Amino acid sequence: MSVRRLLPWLVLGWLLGCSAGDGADDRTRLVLWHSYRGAELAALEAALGRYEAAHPEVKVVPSGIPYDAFPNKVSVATPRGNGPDLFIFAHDRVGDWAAAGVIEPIGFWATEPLLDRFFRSTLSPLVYRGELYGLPLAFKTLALYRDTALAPDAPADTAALIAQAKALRAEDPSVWGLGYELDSLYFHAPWLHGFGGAVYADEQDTLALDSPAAIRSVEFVRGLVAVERIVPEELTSALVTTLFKQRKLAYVVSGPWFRAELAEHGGWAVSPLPTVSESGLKAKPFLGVEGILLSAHSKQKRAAFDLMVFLSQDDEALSRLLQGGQLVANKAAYQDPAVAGDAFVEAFRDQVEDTVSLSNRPHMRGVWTPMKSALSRGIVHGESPADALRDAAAVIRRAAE
Amino acid sequence: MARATRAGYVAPLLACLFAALLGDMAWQQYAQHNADRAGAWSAQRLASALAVSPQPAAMTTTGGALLRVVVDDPAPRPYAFLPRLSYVAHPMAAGQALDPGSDGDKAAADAWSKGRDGAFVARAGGQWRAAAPAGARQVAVADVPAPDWARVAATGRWRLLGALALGLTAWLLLLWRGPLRPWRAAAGAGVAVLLAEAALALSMYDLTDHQAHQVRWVLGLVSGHGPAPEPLLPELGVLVLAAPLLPLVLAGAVGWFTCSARSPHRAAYAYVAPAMAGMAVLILAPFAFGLLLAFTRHDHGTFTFVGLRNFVQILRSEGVGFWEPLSFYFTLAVTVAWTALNVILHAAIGLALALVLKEPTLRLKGVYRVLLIVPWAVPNYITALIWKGMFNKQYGLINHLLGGLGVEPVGWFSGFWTAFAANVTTNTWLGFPFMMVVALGALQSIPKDLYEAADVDGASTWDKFREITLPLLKPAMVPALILGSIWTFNMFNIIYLVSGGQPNNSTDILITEAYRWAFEQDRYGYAAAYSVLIFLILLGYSALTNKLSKGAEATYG
Repeated sequence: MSVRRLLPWLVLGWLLGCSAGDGADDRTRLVLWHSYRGAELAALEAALGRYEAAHPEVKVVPSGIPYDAFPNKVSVATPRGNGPDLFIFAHDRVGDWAAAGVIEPIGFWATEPLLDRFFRSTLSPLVYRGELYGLPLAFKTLALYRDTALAPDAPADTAALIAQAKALRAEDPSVWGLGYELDSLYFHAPWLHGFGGAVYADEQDTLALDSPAAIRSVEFVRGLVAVERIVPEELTSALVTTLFKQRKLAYVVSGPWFRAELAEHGGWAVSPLPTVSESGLKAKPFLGVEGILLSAHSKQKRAAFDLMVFLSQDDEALSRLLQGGQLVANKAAYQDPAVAGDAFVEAFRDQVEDTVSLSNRPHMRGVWTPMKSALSRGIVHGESPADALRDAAAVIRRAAE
Repeated sequence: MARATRAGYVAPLLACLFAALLGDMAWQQYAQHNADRAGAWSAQRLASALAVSPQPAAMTTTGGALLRVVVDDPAPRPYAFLPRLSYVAHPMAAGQALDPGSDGDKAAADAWSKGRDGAFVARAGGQWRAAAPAGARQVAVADVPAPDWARVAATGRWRLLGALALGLTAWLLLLWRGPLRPWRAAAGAGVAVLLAEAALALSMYDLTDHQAHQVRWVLGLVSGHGPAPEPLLPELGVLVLAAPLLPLVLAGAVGWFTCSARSPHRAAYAYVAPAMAGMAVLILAPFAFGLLLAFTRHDHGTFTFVGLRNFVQILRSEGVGFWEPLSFYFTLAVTVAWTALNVILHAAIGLALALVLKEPTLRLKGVYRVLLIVPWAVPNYITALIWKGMFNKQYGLINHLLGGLGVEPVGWFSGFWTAFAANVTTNTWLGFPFMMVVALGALQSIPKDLYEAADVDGASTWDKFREITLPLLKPAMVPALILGSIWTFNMFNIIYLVSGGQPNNSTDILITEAYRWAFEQDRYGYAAAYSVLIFLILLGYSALTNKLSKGAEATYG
């Protein structure tokens, strides 16, 4: 086809393109990416509707992105100017995004009264190298589920838990005391922190996973498996659910998501994790936060920050808690009469004060796999915990170079 | 073919000039790039000196500026991460007040990238003024001289030209030795470009300590325990890689155009073109991308060209013992053992079952055949998860059955050999139906009269199997075995889902290892280098088997 024959079509296309552009409204357009579905999505959309009603000059364009593809899409699209103004995601990528200049520090605008709304612990996951990068919307952490028929009362410390579990085992050997995924650092973290250990010793990425405290924590769990014999060795999350539902498991360490698995199942309760008797410290699980983050490439940061503040308001948090079923980061939301008295929500609210922020450093992602191997060696296969942890730490240090 | 031959000589020459042009552009860009970041780069080196420097309120700098403002703030603060520094300076009129809440001043603050401890580093040279906020205890601005990048760029050009002259001389010397065929001339030009690049790399040694370190690091001469140098431009890396190939590609293109203009097969090319385009987009492009990735290092979403570094690291098994899990050689040995054992078991079981199913006296043959194909028909990750459950120490079926025999529960994934056996068992279950189907098909195509003739000659069953069945199965079974071994070599699902590499990553094979480096450790470049090595191993393997099976075809074909 010659150029001359194509020309009228090109002109027509150009004209159409222009007229489509003229039709757009002049409201400030804020693009918000999220990965919510179901009730959480409905709660978010309702909140955005309220914001637009109160701010007729702003149009919010929410866009759902699948969770797995989310971080890469943000990392790739944002620097090229195709990304959102705001996005809601788990905090563990904050370090990468901050280092790559994808997200904007908001300390410049944030004030103390604004931050006082949140549980103090839910802010630190969003801080990277001394800068605040977002506002927390919801949190996830672990707590202790128990079968109220087997274990009527929440144990105050690990000695009580072990005694209770051993008594149950003596009565019926097919019943186990405690169950969780032994080789996962996420589930081991309460014991690690309960013995005074940590993943990193300081701000400079100094790894502390082969410290004496970490070794003691692995020895402790090995004791539960091999000496006290109250924990089954090779547990998967599916097996935990099955055993708990069959009332063959007295205690389970799990997060808020475990409730969905127990939909039709009664006779259970949740409480904060116990104190570690040996050290007298609380068993502190990792805290994960879902935050709303501001793109460093946004053209209207001030307007986007206003929307962040709106979404993190106490009344908006309450509606996300009631409508979306999220464990929100606002303190005031839990004082509402509609929430007070919900033992499940209160257990996690109590637990959130005793947590350790899951590190948002880029190197943290390289920690999981070597630690999985070390925990399975030290706890399940009965090798020396010191050796297993030392090897894992060596692998992690090497990969971080 | 005189035109084509001439093209073969001219094209590499053009390619060399083109590469020189591109190389010069890249060099200029590199120098410019370094000039841009020079302020920040050298300012960082001054950061420690600054803590004790005097405090002028404003000054003019050439390369960049470093500003430090510390505010007296004795009250304990609940949120330590809220900025202690009120604001920082930007080119602004003297006496102008800053408005901390406005977008404009946020942008002004952003013009400085924040260092640690409240030090602000300017990104470029120019006039910088520092305005201290109320209550400021210390304000410091340091001048950072910029390296003379223009001079570096100029000497770089001379170095580049010198190196290219060397390369061209080498190529001309090659021609001097007598007429070459176009492709060999092009290949010679490729070598010449490589030579030029090496010369350039060597000549860069004296530029600065920093660059010399960079060059050595890229060549894999410095072991990877020190701090990584500043990234080289990725474009430069791609160019360095692509330049030696350029003469070949160009000679090929020119030759193709001059030949195909008179070719009687032009229509055929047109018919194949859509499929070729599809292949290029779906196979060649990702392959080329993966290949490029193998020469890079990934850091927070940016890729840095690191030359052969990844390969050197893998092949020297840096950081782990030569014969430990996670070492390339250990994993390779596990992979080879895994492949060999699986293929032998698949073929033996498959062939045995095919022989049984072929038996004319067998009843319900159709039912058996369907049942035996079921393991193949079920998606393999489902099978893998079922088997993993069956190998569970406390609740698995296998330990349950062994318990019936009085055996203590076995921790299948606690030891290397038991975990390896669990993987092999699962994959054998998955793999034998394919071999069975292939063998069954081949068996049915063996003419019956061969067996009848053998019966007449008084051959035993074993003789018939050895002398008739096996040789006639070979043409069908050998490709199936090659295919099967390549599949098994890269059988990601089973390893990842059944043993998951337990214990201590020892049962990982190369492909799961590569996956872990890429998606669990974020070392994409390293993982890509792993994949390239896997590709090379399989390429060598299939070339070898191809040669061997061609020999077989000559005998029995």
